[in-house]
Amino acid sequence: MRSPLAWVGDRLRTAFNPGEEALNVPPLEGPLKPNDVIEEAEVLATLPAADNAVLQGGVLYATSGAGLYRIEKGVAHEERRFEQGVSALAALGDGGLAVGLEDAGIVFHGGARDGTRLDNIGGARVICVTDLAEVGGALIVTEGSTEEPPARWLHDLMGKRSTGRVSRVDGTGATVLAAGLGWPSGACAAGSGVLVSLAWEHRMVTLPLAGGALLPAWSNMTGYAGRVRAASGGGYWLAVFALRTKLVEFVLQEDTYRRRMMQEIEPRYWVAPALAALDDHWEPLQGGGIKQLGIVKPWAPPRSYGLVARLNAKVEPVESLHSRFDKRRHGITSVVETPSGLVFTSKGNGLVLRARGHLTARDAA
Amino acid sequence: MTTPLVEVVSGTKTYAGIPAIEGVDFTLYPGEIHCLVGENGAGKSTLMKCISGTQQLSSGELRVEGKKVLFESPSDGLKAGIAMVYQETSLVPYMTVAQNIFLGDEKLFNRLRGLYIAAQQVLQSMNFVVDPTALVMSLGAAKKQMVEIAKAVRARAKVIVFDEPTASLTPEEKAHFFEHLRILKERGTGIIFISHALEETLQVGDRITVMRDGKRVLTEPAAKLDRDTMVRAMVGRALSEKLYRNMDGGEGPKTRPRGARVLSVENLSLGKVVKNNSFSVYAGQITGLFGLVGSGRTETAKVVVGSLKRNFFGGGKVLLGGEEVRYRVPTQAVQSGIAYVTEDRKVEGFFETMSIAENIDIGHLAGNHGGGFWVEPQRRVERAEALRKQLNVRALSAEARVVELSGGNQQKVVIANSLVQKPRIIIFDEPTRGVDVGAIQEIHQLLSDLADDGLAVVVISSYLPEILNVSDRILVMRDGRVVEEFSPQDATAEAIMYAAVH
Repeated sequence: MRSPLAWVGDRLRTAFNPGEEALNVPPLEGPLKPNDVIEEAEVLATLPAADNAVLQGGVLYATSGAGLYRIEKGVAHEERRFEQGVSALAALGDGGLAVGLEDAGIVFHGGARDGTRLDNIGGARVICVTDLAEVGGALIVTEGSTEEPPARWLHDLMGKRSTGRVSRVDGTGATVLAAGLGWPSGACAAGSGVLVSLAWEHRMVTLPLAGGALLPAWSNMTGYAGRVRAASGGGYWLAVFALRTKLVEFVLQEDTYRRRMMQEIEPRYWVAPALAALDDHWEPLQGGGIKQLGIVKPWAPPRSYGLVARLNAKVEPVESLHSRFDKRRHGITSVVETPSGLVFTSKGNGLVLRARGHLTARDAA
Repeated sequence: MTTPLVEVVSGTKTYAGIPAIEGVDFTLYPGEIHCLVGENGAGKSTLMKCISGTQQLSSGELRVEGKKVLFESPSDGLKAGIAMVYQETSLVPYMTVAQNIFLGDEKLFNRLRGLYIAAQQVLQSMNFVVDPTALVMSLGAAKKQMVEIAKAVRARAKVIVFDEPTASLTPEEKAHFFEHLRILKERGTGIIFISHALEETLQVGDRITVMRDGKRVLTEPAAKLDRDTMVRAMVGRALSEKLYRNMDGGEGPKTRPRGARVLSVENLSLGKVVKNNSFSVYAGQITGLFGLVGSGRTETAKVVVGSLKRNFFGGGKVLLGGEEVRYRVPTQAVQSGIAYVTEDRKVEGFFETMSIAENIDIGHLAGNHGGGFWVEPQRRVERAEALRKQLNVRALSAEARVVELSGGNQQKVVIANSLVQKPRIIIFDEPTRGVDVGAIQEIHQLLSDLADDGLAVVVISSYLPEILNVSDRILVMRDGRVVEEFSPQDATAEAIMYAAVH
């Protein structure tokens, strides 16, 4: 137990130095130690905005913009084109796919509910489905925001909003399990509940299927957690679509600067995370300027990054795959385990990738 | 043939009838670097003390430039041109560099200005960047070493004896130091170089003498020797392949799997020494923390255990098993299961005039393992005896005074002092500094055993072979923060050094 003196010290510190907590961005170390596995992964297909890799009936699907694609033998065949961009995709037990559309709710493709649509949950329009997962016969829907569509994720982050929610859709209707969250971006069955990624809150939580309190599973994460999928042999695969940096955390604290930046500067040049490097000399921070003797230092703050983490059943990282900031396979938005290897999409650089030999169940204590 | 600068013929020195050196023959020629290696207690220091005049030979002869001499005191030795540079520098900390250089050789009236100019000339002649007006206490180990060398050079020493000069130097400073040795050598100075770092002796030495148990085992040109031969001669057995297998690109040790994360340091800051340092330590593993002297490793460890205070504002966090901790005094850390084995054992590690048992008991009391203030003498001795046997501390009994032990055995007492606290996390700061090669192997084995038992072990070291050999995970610190992480498989000496320097 902490002493009263320590408690007073903590209060004083918080009062006089309110930003301290936010600047504690943990480094990539231990199981998250950078490597080049993503960079060395095989390219399965090239799609301009590759996203949402899922496996249904042995077939690998991915999306790009409004198109749903089957990836077969290195070729992407268009399965269907929707009226809006696809923002989430999930394989259902009945053989169908649940498809989240930008600003246009959820539609079902194939399976028992083919063609049905869900536009409204809890009296609010569904405009920003970030992930879908079938858990215990119900469909779990994560909405990053109730105000911004998925394409404006950066505005949501830099606007410091917390309007995301997690809902359950089953035969009895749709129920909101938790609301007021900072961009819920991934969901996956975890025991009798759901494991949810909360990107802007830098944490993962578990949530009972019937609703209730959020239980922290992994806090103060080093990146913005995205979609999470079950791994064979226990544990999970997590796509981390960007890394936190102290500079972005700092800008998030500096409200006046942040507001002016949002008003006056094009979003692509904001001091904010990105899914890919711009290759533009106006781009802030990529490389971070920390280059000595011609070598970019490992601690250089990355604006965009590629990271997939393997978590154990206790939601602790045990292994990771990386594309470092000076490489070009960034913004990993989805991950799925297939019999031939681990497939993930680099939305930032428009690639569907496959890494072999990273499917061993290596749970740490 | 050239007359040797120094020659010892059948030198024997006995203390209370027990020989410390016995029948030793030793020669040093002008412009030669003669390295002297051996385990602690092998008699190297005794031999050097006899040469420099601190001690007198009991039998045998000491000749300087062919003439038999009998030194009554070190000043006789100095007059004859023999200067000794000790491992723990013998400079006066509260005096300036210039005053130290001229100490013992002052005029009746001294003008500081003239003293500073003269000192500056001496320092510059050796290319040393040291401010002659600076107080010695403000200098780092390397600069103190430079002042010692300048002092010896100014005294026109023909022979300079260096006792472990590189133990506290960074790799760059070492390279610089070796350059100075080369300059001295070119001037015809004879150099006796005592070191535990065998690579260094092979690198700089012209001839190498190995001593064991007070006797000279071999003297050979350095070019004819390798590390294996030297180690075998030093300890009478082959240790090398066990000690340094990673250095030769051989198959590294099997790394232990990572256990639970037990200690996290986030954004730790302490003045200008530790800057936003973040890293984690896992149970069941040895985490090697490498960095040059001044990279903030020790300070980080001391903040973790509460013996130094981080910045009050923006000082970062220390998380023990996920819970934030902030220790005001080290006892709290000890009671939470964090032990720190100091790098400076003589100052911080033990009470040298107390017995092994008493020292270990102090560690036990700090651990707050019950028993109140009353200490049963018998249990104290039993506990100490058990640890003494476990760690193989070579002493007659647990009642022996620590000051009587060799460096390696003293280090084991310091380790025992921490182990008795039954820690979950144990931080070793330079665990084998000034420890002989036999004890190094025992200490490394102990580190391994502790990690195998599930403890989180952190080894802070400036000695690359040690880091490469013991670590399951290598963190490199530079300028107050961890800048790189290596697994033993992809760690090479060059890569680690590159990360540590650039």
